[in-house]
Amino acid sequence: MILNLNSQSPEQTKSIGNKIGSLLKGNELILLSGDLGMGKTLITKGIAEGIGISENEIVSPTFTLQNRYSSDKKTYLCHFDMYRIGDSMTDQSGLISPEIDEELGENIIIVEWAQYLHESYFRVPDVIKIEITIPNDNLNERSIVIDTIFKPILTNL
Amino acid sequence: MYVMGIETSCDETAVSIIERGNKDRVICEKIKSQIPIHKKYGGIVPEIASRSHYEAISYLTKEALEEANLKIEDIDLIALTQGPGLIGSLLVGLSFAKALAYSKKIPLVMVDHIDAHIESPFITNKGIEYPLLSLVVSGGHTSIFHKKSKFESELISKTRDDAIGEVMDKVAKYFGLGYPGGPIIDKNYPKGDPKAYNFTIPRMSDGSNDLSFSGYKTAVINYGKKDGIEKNTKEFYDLCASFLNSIVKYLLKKTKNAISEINEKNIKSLSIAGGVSRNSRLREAFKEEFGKSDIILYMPEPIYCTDNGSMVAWLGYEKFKNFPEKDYFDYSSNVYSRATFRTKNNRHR
Repeated sequence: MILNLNSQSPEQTKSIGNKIGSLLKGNELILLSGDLGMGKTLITKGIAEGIGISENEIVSPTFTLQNRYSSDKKTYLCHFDMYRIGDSMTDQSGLISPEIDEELGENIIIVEWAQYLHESYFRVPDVIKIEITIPNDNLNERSIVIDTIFKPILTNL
Repeated sequence: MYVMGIETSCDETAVSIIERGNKDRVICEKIKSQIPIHKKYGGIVPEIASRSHYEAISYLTKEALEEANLKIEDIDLIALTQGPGLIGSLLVGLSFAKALAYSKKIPLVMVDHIDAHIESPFITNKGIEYPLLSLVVSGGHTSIFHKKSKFESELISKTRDDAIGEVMDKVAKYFGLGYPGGPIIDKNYPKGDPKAYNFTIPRMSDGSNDLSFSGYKTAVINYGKKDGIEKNTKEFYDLCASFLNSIVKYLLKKTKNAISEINEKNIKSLSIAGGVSRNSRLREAFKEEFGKSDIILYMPEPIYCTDNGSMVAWLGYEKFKNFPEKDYFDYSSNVYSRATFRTKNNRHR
């Protein structure tokens, strides 16, 4: 199922994230795709707020590749970034996938630059795919396309 | 005494030998940068970084000893970067340093990478007085620390999204300029008009003095898209210069805020450190602003801005001297990837 959302501002992108976060149960994989400056870390901040982590804690994982945060829901938010691995090789090289596998089924996982992740991850149950793009000439607008079969999102968002 | 400093936290393998005590000097600094290796990927690839450290560390150590005209038995202390950084890279340094220290019965002192950067201006400046405000700017960090003494440190501002060096790398990659982005943008600065493009100054809704750079990144890319700017055109140079000028001004503003927040009378010295402190526009702007102020500005020599072994050795010696009760022959320490800072409200880890 595909949900088409639209955001007119960074604040709105963040609040969409917040709503998504509040619907998560604690065992989901969120795959974020979109170019530089689309708001992937921003929507992650919103999702974090929604699961009870201060958005101020969330920083870009580009340098460290992986950040881990604990939430009120007694689950962890694992924030990955494929940016630096992106062009060089697909995740076949196994730099990030073992780390993701370890967290799967236990915690909430968000992967930025998921377009570089191996396609098998896109078939994991309860995967939530989110793609952010600029829909037209308005550079402040974002089209947020959510592709998932995860019921709480489909019925409540 | 002779101190060897080993640094492998990120993409530079560095081994330094310094002399402390009677003399305070760097004898030699051996750095192997992995930039050429990571260049084609537009950033550091961790697994490749670890392998490259492993290849370099042994011969760099040999070369350092030869250049210093010393034998390993002459080394009185080994100082090592413990973290934060890339785990695989840190482990190469840890295993090497432990083995060397254990086999030769040399004391081993562990040093925090960020603390070592903060220490770097001390290598070439005598008499830096506390309290000190230190701005750390690099590819992975953008933070302001308040230091009451060498070993009392409080994190008072940090970036809430991208680090300043990361934003420069991403902007450079967007325009296809290569890696690392900071030096390239710095070099292009004189070719453009720094006032040609405007950037909104990020404001924190909670009134905090934390920093944010991701908005600058989006703004540069938006300008690039809107006007279809190609690299090496007049508009491109104007945009690069305006971008650099704006983030430097923003850092200045945040630094001044930090000084007034903790009551400026209490701050005696200000230092900048980390890879981005090598940026010439940044250095100029801080000199212009603080050159005549009561707060004395200190900057590391360019070679000690980026990762190096001397800053590790320098701080290692200070720890060894100031905490004699600690057991430096206990080789059981491990590395850590993420920073742990003491903050006002202990919110951050």
